[in-house]
Formats: sequence, structure tokens, C-alpha cells
Amino acid sequence: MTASGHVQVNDESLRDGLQSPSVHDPSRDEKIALLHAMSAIGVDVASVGLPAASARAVDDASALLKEITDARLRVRATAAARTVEGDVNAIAEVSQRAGAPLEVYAFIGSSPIRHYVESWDDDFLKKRVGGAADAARRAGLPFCLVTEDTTRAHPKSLTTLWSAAIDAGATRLCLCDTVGHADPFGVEALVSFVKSFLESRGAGYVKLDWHGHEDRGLGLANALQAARVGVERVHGTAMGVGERVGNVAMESLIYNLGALGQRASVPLAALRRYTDIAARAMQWSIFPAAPLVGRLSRGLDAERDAACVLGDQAPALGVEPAARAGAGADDAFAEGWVPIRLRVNDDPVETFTRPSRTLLEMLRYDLDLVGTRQGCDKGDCGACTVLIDGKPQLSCLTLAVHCDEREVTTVESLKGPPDLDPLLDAFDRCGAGQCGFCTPGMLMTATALLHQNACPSRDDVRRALSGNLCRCTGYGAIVTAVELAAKIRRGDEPSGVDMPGAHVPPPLAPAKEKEKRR
Amino acid sequence: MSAGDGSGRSGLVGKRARRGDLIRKVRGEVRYTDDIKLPRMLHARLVRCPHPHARIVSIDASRALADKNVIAVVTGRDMPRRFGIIPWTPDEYPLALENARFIGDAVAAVAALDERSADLATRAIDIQYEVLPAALDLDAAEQNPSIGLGATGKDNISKTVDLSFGDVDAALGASDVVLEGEYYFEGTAHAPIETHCAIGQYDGDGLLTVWSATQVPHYLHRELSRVLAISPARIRVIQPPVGGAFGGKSEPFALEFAAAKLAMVTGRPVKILYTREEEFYAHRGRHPMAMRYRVGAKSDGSLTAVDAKTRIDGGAYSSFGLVTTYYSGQLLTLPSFAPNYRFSSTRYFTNKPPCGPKRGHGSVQPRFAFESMLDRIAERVRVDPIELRRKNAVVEGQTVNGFRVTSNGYLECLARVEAASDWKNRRGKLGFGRGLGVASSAYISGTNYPIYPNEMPQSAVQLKVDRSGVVTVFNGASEIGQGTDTLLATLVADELGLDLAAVRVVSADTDLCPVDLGAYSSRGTFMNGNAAIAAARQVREKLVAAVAEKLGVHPKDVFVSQGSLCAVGREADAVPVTEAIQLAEARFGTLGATGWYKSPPKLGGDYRGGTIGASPAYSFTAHVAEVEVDAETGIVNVVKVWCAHDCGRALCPTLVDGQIEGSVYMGVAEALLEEHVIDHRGLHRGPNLLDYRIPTTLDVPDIVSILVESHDPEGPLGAKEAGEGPLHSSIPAVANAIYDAVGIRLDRLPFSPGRVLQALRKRAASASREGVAAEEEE
Repeated sequence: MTASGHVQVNDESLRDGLQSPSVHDPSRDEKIALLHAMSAIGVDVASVGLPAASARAVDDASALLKEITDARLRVRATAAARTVEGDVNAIAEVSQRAGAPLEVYAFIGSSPIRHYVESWDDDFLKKRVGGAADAARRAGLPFCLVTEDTTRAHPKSLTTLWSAAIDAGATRLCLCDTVGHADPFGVEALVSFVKSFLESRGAGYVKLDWHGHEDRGLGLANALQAARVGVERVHGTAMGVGERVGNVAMESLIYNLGALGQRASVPLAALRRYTDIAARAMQWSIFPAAPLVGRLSRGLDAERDAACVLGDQAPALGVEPAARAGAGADDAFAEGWVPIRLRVNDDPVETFTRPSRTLLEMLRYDLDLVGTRQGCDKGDCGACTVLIDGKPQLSCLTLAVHCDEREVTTVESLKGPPDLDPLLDAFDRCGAGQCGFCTPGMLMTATALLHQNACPSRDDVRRALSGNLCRCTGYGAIVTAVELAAKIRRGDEPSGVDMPGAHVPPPLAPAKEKEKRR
Repeated sequence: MSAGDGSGRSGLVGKRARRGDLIRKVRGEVRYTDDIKLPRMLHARLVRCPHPHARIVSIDASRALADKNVIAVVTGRDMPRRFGIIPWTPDEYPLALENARFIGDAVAAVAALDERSADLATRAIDIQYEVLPAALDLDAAEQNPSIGLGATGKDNISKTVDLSFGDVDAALGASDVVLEGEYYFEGTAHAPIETHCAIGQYDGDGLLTVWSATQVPHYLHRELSRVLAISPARIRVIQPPVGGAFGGKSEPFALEFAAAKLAMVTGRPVKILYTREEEFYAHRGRHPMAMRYRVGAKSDGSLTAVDAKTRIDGGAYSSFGLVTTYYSGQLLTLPSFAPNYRFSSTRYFTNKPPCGPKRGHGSVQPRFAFESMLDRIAERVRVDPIELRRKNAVVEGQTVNGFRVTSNGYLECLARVEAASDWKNRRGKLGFGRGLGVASSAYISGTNYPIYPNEMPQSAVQLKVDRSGVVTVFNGASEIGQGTDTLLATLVADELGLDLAAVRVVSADTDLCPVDLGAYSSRGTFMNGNAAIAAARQVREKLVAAVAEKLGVHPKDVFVSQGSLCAVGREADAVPVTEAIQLAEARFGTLGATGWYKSPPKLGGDYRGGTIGASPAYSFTAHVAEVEVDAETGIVNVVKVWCAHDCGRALCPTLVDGQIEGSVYMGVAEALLEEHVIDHRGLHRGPNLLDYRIPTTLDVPDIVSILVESHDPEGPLGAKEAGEGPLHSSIPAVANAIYDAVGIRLDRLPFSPGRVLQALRKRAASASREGVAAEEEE
């Protein structure tokens, strides 16, 4: 069974890719730049997001869709929806605004555990799928039913869902390996199951998509297998960004489909340009050892190549002995040591780290910069906030390797006397810290705020600091302190008011003078 | 103006000054416990029981120990000695010995080369459990005594207190109004941003050192000796700065014993850091309480009697529960109360994370109930709620349960919040959806009696005076963010005319510092402050004598100003403090002093339990809250809170404001957002800082803190507590404001949108029923 003709690729970077907790949601301009980059590498279809998520999502999706028309890009657009009429209507609104067609990708959980947890029964599922598909039909938009977790669903649930969709006019089904559960043999079995189901229903016209994840490292192999056994459209994201370990890397997908003769080949340089644009937009570091596009593949630094090949033998700089000794436990994860080079508070740092090490761990345990604090280790409290390239980020959710070639700024960079940092000055003066544990994170967020806005209002301060939890102060003194710091920075308030030290005894007289007196 | 009169002459006390310690703390220059890294240090994790109640059948660590990174495993059998913060109820083992009593109860500890290996190893320890019947709420604990969680094994009762003062039944019978109410408080967590952390080190000389994020290094010192069977002379406890505690670190925890034991077993330092999830399961937070109140009054608003019945959900262990049970009734009798009082409180054990003291220990829940009742009484007898409180104020002398009141700024607190909120013109007049509410409370400045009975000082300070002009303050107090280090430096500097830059504070190290009992029950300012002043005055006397001699004046004419000592009328001949120190050292020899605080010998009522709640001084608080209630969504927005707090003399006003603002913030959070829910399986509903909702910058009201400075005759320069009192009445003030706004009485915390909507619907339904009935009558 070999697919004939051109296999399409669907770029999900701006939808599923942005679900990674470690990427930055790009600005609209950055999204448009990425759309052009997709078009340049021949992406057939691209998702413009989930419009029902927010007003901003509607605006961005409309702008992207309009750009496709205005710039005459070859790429076609899809948008995601829950199987809820309101979500489909939001897509219709985007389509209307931009005056261009959009394909609806409506998703629904299909695994037994999800159905159990949500108490969904067959009737409910049929109604939801039918309702959503109807809404798409009324708006004149093509409808694809996305069964989340297809590879872990019961066949009966799947046929129920598919039937409902086809009856309501769906022309496309998307098979998902949502948690990277399948292997290529499973993919083949699933595709042949759905094909025989479609034939039995006389619905051979319905087209198939494959959407897989990399949890087992089989994402790319599964996608290629899906294409081989007759799926028309396979999904990926730039550099594979996405939840957990991520999706199939689009650049690898296009390269390999090219090599297999299932699509036109694209020059490696173009693929690398595409990932560079995506990395910038999403504030993502391309993993040095990433296939095709990583620094090591690009062959920039021979010395580092050698270091990387040495793997576990290589660690030398700034890595604590305990971590090295602990390598055995990590063997189970087959983790290697990765060289990274960054600047921390203006100092160059060149070291090796494990891919799993968070920036927080590296700062605190490897570099002994303990001012950055761990409060929750899961992105809820903000105590670990540092600046990465000037922007406040949670170091507990940032992998150290992502900071390669970046500038990290921690609370240790704030100067003490005599050039006392205005924020430190104001926090101490206002009693804006009590236990002082959340304060470093507050200070870093506030530093970024004052760089951006020299004269923030109390509301600006409150909004900026809303991701930093404090349990002692009730926040009032903190907001006042940031306002005061802004004034000190602007020269509207004196610095270092009432610092102790005015009444300490003077330095002892120089020894020489004493001798003269004698 | 004479020396030694105690009127701090150099002007630091009472001045709105800098925090002083923050810059070093935040730049990582002062190390919190988890910032400490010792050579060869191991990392350990605890294995926790996944069942609410289970017998441990067997523990097999062989799979874990097969990993070359795993160094040691200890279990309950390695430390088979009980401990407990209250000497009469020691019912915990560091690691469960036979039975585990809640999901999260620690049963083993494993040390490895790194944290991740330790974490993986916890999953490779094979434990067989026999699951036992469990009680997961108050009703189950009350109705199923056979579960046997109590000390006798025949019931689930932790402690019962029945106390009665005056003839309650007669007084209620003679009342014009008797109202009844039932209230429920689910309980809340401390949620400090720093989780618990401890490091154990057992050195080559056999000295055990434990660093811990604790509020009670002294009690930890004692319990380590008891549990590990080591002489206290071979143990040193060091408490680095603590990243928030709020009562959640005021007793020994499993990790301190486990880190110490593993250090002894391995001969290497061992660190344990709790995850955020473990922090929620270690808990010791505010107790769930089901409270029933009957309050009587005359038609003029004078209260006649209070009758309270309280059921307390204690969780799996005693913790401070004996005290909690007393506090649930004992601390209610100030500031406005009735002459007759009876309360019956029962604390039950349940198979949930153990409850303990949280800011305002034991009395925040009944305060919510009682102050809500007062608002209802005021409405019924048509007396303004502030007037009602004035009328029933217990201003001086003794409370109904026998506590002594030495200073009382309560009436001024009421007057100040009344004026600041423009109460008279605005309450009841803000239209539907907006309202004002008042409530008031009082709290202890330290307990008069230490936790374990003894006659020694409760707090002590040693001063070391250096001829360079530096004075070092050694004291056992626990700096947990409240600012005791700053306070002590200020008091000593003020007495001696020193610049704050010339005072160092060394605190909470059992080898270096004299004993302080810990940062709990709002005792810091009162007890450490008195100790510091007592020590500083001895040094001051010597400086004054030396300067008097140099200037040829009488000592009583010498006074201390900032930086120097002068004689009256001879200001030009001022002697710099450093020179005064050198003169005194030359004359008297090496300078140093000790000072201590001991509470008055006999305080409290002359009945069993009459000492619990007795304090050398009480603080007073009044709150007015202004709220907006959206009747469509049920969302309550607390717009502003005025809090007037009588802290005695405000020694460091910046710190006092911080305590008031922090208390109000925490109270309002408990009123609107926070709820520590353990579900029917014994699992926490959201053990993280996203699901357990603590306020962000966008969720807090404007807080106006108003300092009321009564002068307490026994407080340090007249000071009392400020750390816990200002929390109490913030919650009922919000409840009463909601009533003013939309006419509903909420009897269960927190006031979430769902509960508000439900109450609004109930009110609308009953209003329409009444309307129909009225029409039918016509």
C-alpha cells in the first residue's frame, strides 16, 4: 500500500506549538513573518489558531488569513475549535472578516478515560459532533473532525464519532496520537481500520489527517508511515515545539518526505531559515543537537562537536560533583551532557548541562546564584522570575539549554550601595519585603517593567506584578515601592534616604600621620 | 531627660524607618536553608502513605538500595520514639511506626546522591499496607468511634473543653433577645512561599547540627534530643532566615528528624526540601470548625450571655490541638462581651493532614461566628453595630474568664475606623450592592506560660560590646519576616545612641544565642523587646558612668543622643559613643550584658485551663470593610478595609504597618478565596498555588492601617503585639459588609460566588413567598 502523489503537510506551530508552556506567544507581526516562512518552504496548510480562545485570537487569526490573501501566499488556512457551535461560529467570523475560506478542525476527546471523567455518553457525543458540523455547514466551511487520543480510543467510540461527523457533512477526519503512544505498526493498523470503515459507509471521499507527538521519539516515523499508508495530510510544528516533548518537527517532516519522493525537496538552508524565524517568534532556542537545524548539524563549531560526541566524559566546568556522581540515575533517561554558552549578569558562562536541568536549578545549584528562589517549581508563584534577554521569565519552567546564547539577568545584578539600585532602595525603605523570599522575583519583574515604562501608574504596577505571589505584605507596600523606585530612577526622589551609617565612627587615622604627630 | 529613664533619646524608636535587612536578604547574600550547600551533601525525600488510614505491614527497600546512587533508607523503626509540641500529647513518630493516619503521612526516608535519584528511589520502596477504616470529616469522626483515632483507641476525640462562667441559662432566660446561629469554617493553609527545608549534619566529633526553616529552634532542639536519643549538649539547631511561616513552621516536622537521622546513618550532610505539594500535606493549618452560638441581649443592646458549642476537625495528630481547643473559646471574651459565658469545644481526630496554628491560632474561626452574631443582635435591637460594641466593651480589669487587661485602646480603635470610613454617613446608605461592615477583636501578646512548664526566662538577649563601636545582639528569636532582627537592633541602638549600621544581630542559633521560645503566639516584640532593653540598659549605665566621670558631671545629667553622649548644658562636649564605649571598657573591663524577660508569676483564671489564653498584655483591633457585591455573578469585591490596631507603642511603625496590611490581606483572602479542602478520599483538592487560591496583586483591597498607641505598662517602651491580632475581625467585617450590601447572612467560609448566589436566591425566594402571603392576606 503506497500513497500516490503529493503528501500535504499541515503546520500547527501557531496552534499546537503554542501550547508548549516554554514558548512565547508571538506578536501578530511575528506570526505573519512565520506564516511567510511556512509558505516559503511549501507548507500546504497552516493553522491560524483557536479563535474562540480570546478576542486577541480572533484578531490574530483574521490578520493571518487576510495576509494569506493579500500576499497571495500558497498556504491554505485551518482553524481549531472545540466541537461546540460557539467555537465554530468564531471561525466563521474570522472567515467573514478576512473574506477568505477556512477549514474547521473541530476536536473532541475520544479516549475512554476522558469520557468517563466527563460523563459523556454516546448520545451526548453524537449531539456535540453533529451540532458543530452543522454549524460549519451553515457557514459554508469545510469540516474536519479531530478525534483526540485516537490511538488510545475504543474502536466503537471512534466509529460512533466518525459516523456522526460524516452524517453531518464532514469531509475530513484527523487521527491523533495525542500522547505519542503509537508505533508505525499501530499507525498502519489504525489507518486500515478507518479506511475499511469509510468504505463500508460508502464514504471513500473522506480524507485523512495524521497528527502525532514525539513522546516515544516515534513521531516522525509514525508520520512517515501514515503518509506511506495513504493519509493525505500529516501535521508538524516548527522544531517540534508543543506540549511535553512536542510534535513532529516540520523541517524534518518536509526533508524526509522529500527524500522519500513524496513531496518536492526543499533546500536545507530554507528549512533552517524557517526554524530561525520560528525560534525568534516563539523565543525558543534551537536545541544544539537538533537534526538538520541544530548548531551541531550546521557544523559551526568543530570543538564543540567533539565535546558533544564525548557525551558523559565531557563535563568540566561549573557542574557540581554531586550532579556528576548522580549521572547513573539519569542513565535510565539516556541523557547526555549538552554544552551551553550564555551570559549571566554580564559574566560569560560556558558549561555543560543536562537537557532536563531547569534554568532555576542551574542558577541555584550549579552557579550558586541563590538569590533566585524556588517557591513552587511549577510556574505558579513567580519567585524564580529572572530576565532572559530582558524579558521576565519563570526559570523553573525554562530549561537551561534554552538559554544557550542568551542573556540571563538575576537579582544578583541589582547593585547595592554606593550605586544602590532604585528598586532595592525603595523596597527596603517601604518595607515592601518581609520574609524576602518572593522579593527577588518581584524585583526582576519590576526591573523589566521600569525599563519598559519609566512612569507606571499603580494599576500598571499591579498588572505587571500579578504573576508574582507574596504571602507577607498584602502587596500595598510593594506597589508603593515600585512607584517610588520609578521616581528615584527619574531623579524625582533622592536615592538612599535614611540609609544607616551616617553616625558610625570615622575611619581610623592613617598610620603615617600618627607617627608624624609623635 | 535623665539617663536610664527609658525614654529612648536617640530617636530611632517610633520612627518610620527602613526595613534594614532586605537588601542582603534578596541579593542572596544571606542564605535561607535551601541556599546552604555543604561538602558531600546528600539529598533525601520522604515516602508518604497513599491511604488515609493504614497499618504498615512491611517495608522492603531492597529495590531502592540496589541503585548505586541511593545511599540509605530509614523507616519508623529507626526512630521509634514519639514527639509532640505539647508535652501532654506526644502522638507523632517522625516516620509512622505502625499506623499511617493520613494520605501524606511519612513512612520512610531515602537519601541519595542527588534529589532526582532520591525521588526515583521513593517509588522503588515496596510497602505493604493493610487499609483501615477512615474518618474523613467531623461527622464521620463523631459517629464512628470504633475507628479509634483517640488516645484510648475507643473514640476519635482529641480534646474536650467545657467551661462555664456565670449563670448562662438564667441570663439567657432573662434576655429580651436571644439569637442562634450556626457557622462553618473549612480551614485554610499557611502557604508560605518558602517550603519547609532542613539539613542534618553529624560531624566527626559526634555533634549533630540541624539547619531548619522553623519558627521554634528551641523546641526542635529538645525534640531532636528526645527522638534521636542524643544529649541536647551534642545538638545544635540553626534557623536561617525563614521565607514565611505564619504558624506553619511552629513545631518539629518529619523532615528535620529524617535529615538528622540520615546524616547520622550516612556520616554525610543530608538535605530535605519539601515540594509545594508536600507543604500542603504537612499542613498544620487552620482547623475546620463547626460552631453553634446562642447570644442574648437586653433591648438596649447590652449583652447578657454567650453560649457556644464548637466541633473542631483536628486532622490526624494532636499538634497544638489541646491549646486550639481552649483558644476556640477562651480568646473570645475581649473586647466586647457578655458577663455570662459557657463554651463546649471538642476536637476530633480525622484521617486528614493535621491541623495546627495559623496566624490567629484557634480564635479566628469563632471570631467570625461571634462578630456575625453581634451584627445580627445590633440589627434586632436597632442599635448601631459600633455603638453595640462600645456599650459592651470590656475596657479594664478582668474578663469574664479571669484574664487581666493592662492597657486597652479598643474604644479609640472603634472611633478611628468609624471616622475614617465615614461610617455614620455611609453605612446602610450606599445602595443595593455596596455596603460597610464592622467587627472587632483582641489577641494575646505572648502566652504567659511556656509550652513546657518551667520557671526560666522565656526570652533572653546577650550583648557583646566591641571597642570599635559595634554592638552585637545575640538572641534566640526567630526572624521569619516579621522583623524581630530589625526591632532588636532598633531598641539596642536607641538605648545606646548607636547608628543601626553599628549593630549586628545574631539570632536563632542554639550554640550562639540565649534561648527564646520561638516565633508564635505573638510574643516576639513583647518578650524579646523587654529582654533587649533590659540588657541594653546595663551597658548604657556603664557608658553614662564613664562619660559622667570624664566630663565631671553627675550621671543623672548625662543623656544619650544619636551618635554620642552629652551632659545637659554641655552639648559642645559631646562624647562619641565609640569613645564612651572605650572609656567604659577601660573603667569596667570588657563590656557585655544579658537581659531577659519572664512573665508575671500568676496570671489567668483560677480553674483548670484558666492559664490558657492568659497573656501579659492584649492587643485590640477594629475593622471596617467596604464591599461591592455583584448580585448577577455572586462575586464579592472587597474595595477597602480600614484597620485600627492597638499595638501599644509602635516601636517600628514600618514593621507594624506591614503586619497589619499582611494580616488584613490574609483575612480577606480567607473570607473570599482560600479553602483547604480534603475530599472524601482523603486527597487535597488542589495542593498547588494555582488551585489553592492565594490573592495576587489584582485581588487585594486598599488597606488603610491605623496605629492606635496605648501604652502598656509592662510592654517594652509600652509596646504590644501586631502580628496576628489584625487578622481576626477582618473576616466578620467582610461578612457584615456583605449583609449591608445585599441583605444576606453568610454562615460558611469562604464567601465564594456560588455561596453568595445561593444565599441571594434563597433570600429572593423567601421574599417572594412573603410577598405572595401578604397578597393572599389582603
